[in-house]
Amino acid sequence: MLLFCLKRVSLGVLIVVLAVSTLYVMLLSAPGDPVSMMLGPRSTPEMVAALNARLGLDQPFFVQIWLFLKGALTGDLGQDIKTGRDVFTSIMEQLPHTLRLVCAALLIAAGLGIPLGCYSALHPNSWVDRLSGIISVSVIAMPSLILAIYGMILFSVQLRWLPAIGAGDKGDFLDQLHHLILPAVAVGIGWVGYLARLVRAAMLEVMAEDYILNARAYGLPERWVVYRYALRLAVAPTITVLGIGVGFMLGGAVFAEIIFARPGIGKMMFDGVVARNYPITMGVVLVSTILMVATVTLSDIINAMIDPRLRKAQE
Amino acid sequence: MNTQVITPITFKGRLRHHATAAIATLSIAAFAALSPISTAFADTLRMYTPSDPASLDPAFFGTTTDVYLMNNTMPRLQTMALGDEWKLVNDVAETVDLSDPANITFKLKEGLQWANGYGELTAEDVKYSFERHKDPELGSYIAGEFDALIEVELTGKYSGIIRLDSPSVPMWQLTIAWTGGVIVSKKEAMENGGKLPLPPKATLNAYTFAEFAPGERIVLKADPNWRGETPDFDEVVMIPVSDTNAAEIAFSAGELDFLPTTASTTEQLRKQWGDEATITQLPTIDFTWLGINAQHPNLTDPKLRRAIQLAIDFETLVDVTYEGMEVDRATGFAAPGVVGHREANLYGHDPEAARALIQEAGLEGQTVEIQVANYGLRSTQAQLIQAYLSAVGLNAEINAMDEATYWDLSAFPTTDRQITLKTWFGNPEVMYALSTFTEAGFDGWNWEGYASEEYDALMAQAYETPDPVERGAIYVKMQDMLEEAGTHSFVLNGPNTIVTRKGIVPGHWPDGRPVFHAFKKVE
Repeated sequence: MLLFCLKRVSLGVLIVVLAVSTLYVMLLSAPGDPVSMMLGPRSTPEMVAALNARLGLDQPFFVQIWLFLKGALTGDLGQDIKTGRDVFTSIMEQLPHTLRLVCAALLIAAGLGIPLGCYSALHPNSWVDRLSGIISVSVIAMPSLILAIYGMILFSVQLRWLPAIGAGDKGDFLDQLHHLILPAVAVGIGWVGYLARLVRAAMLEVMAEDYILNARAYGLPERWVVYRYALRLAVAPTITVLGIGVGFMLGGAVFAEIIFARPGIGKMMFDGVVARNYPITMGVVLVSTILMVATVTLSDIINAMIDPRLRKAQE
Repeated sequence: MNTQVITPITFKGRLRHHATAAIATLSIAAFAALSPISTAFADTLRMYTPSDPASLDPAFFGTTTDVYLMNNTMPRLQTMALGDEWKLVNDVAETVDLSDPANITFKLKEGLQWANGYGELTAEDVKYSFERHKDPELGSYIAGEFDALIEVELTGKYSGIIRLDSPSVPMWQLTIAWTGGVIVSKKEAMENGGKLPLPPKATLNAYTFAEFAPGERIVLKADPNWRGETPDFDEVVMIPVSDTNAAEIAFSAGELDFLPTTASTTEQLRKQWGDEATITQLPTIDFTWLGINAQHPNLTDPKLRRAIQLAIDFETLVDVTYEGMEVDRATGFAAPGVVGHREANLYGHDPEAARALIQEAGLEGQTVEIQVANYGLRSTQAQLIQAYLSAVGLNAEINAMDEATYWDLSAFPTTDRQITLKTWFGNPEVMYALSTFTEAGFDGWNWEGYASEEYDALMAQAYETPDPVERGAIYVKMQDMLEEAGTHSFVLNGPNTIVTRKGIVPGHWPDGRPVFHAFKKVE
């Protein structure tokens, strides 16, 4: 198991370095100069050159990438081009908000999707199964952006049940939870449908296995048969999908943070790309990539713990 | 195999079912009870702002939020008056003598205290605030605006003379009485290595900073040492919202009280909010113009440039893209009420004359490129311009770019630019724009490739003309020259729309920039 974990972690580190380097090259290759934007029409070529030198933007791109990666090892992600603030500090201020949003979305997705999928599998072709199938496909197909905006209009404007923007008052857990509902639903609702269909299919397959029939024949309680034997195997592909889903939810967090005016690294990255604020963009890319890789690696490890066959195959 | 499971109905099962339903109902009721409440008559003014502040140090400011915050927390010698007219009034200055534009004498009001124990405002702070922009170590983004400054000579604890190496009337309007002229506390700046921290503690205006949570909000509290009338609102909360539509929804949800928004949605907002809000359309001093690069190989022929000017019906362009609003075509960089305002453009819409010029020049089918940033109404306007140019025999292509790429055109040689549609933030002193169009700017911000010795001479003359009527006449001539050269066609000055919740009367500059201490609650 230890060897399996070490292999996974090493691969993860390599993926992070490659992904970050590739994205840095793409960012530097894109047209747009942050210095000209910052200085505006009253700047002179001398001022532009001086600011470029101060920000290190006059270095060749491979030097910039090397300096960035070297600094990243010590937690130094540079300084925000616009504000001069330390990028690492800025990201650490915003990251908890994004993590909260993604975790809440994940909870909604898994908390609704898995039970729904189980219920549908245990009651195939019932009206609940059919209805959940229709709803699942609908929420998968509907763009989250539309759901977010219409959710705001219905719950914030018309009903005044939920706030439209912001993250809530600091230190007020209930207020922050209140502000989290709509964005988390917007980000996670599509995955409810997806997970429900996935779990349903996996459960149906597993419930048809001979050992399930055997377990029932032994007189084991139905709850044990479903949750201890069938769901344990059926949920394995779900965990893998959830690991990948975190990456998509991080992407979904970008639009949710913009639409709902929530703080977070998604909005930071969007603003950074638009303003060609390279240190901010790369800092967020690094953190997001690490999160994504860590989540996928973790899901692989959990799967290996649940299913020993996977771990033996890898070792 | 049939895997359908029949679950027996048990007491436990019924209990679980009812408990789940009860919890769900209570949860919904609880969240409904936590609904946001409109605070139109509370002590907090909530407004949206497009982004977090970048810097409140006048040497490094860059965003609209920076400008809003500096206007409401930091002092200047003079500032803009509230209301509809662009005129300067004393802020922390007791007197200002502009009669000699090369030697501006000022005297400060006595006893004004910086917030948070940073002492009294003195002329030393003024000296430090202006002279620091000339320090190359600081790297001030607006260093160029202080080129004419020699020094600020102190004549007393509260008085001094701003000495310039040559008369510069626009420097007063453009810099010292505008954002660049914000006075900082020397003590606080020195504590922070010569720069103001974000947010600064030493403020000297109606409001000071109570909280700054990046990405979340900026909270201002009324400064008890404020020298003016006590503000109606003790607290101002500014929420950064990147998307204007989201801000409008938040206003509808009762979470915002004041909303500067895009002018194009004004009519729609009036229908949507009706009696709940006061929607005011205001002119701005921002300017939008069509630039035609005389240095580009496709556009060197003056007949072609004139034809382009004549081909486009700018009045209809403005009417169509600002439907339902009372908006007129601009006549120059200087908006109505600003020194240098022109009464009329030199050239109007004349497609027949445009076709004739193109044929005379032998340029039928000439390809030209319209370069725009693809935000707001730009793409729509570009398509209309394309249609007008096609109608007179030109092959017009549109190159819509994202904003950063678009403004990056200034970093490329002049021959990369053709026909551009630009908006710059305005200033009551139109020299801000006019000074761009010199040969030195060809590979910079002079995208129109315009240069003229006569124009340069007029610019030098304007710098030394304190009388606004005389200076205005010079500016009119300069704008005439730009249009006559076929490099500039003026499109629009503003407009701006501000929305306030019923029960609140906003205080603002003529273009809608909010002045929080002037916001009033009304029954």
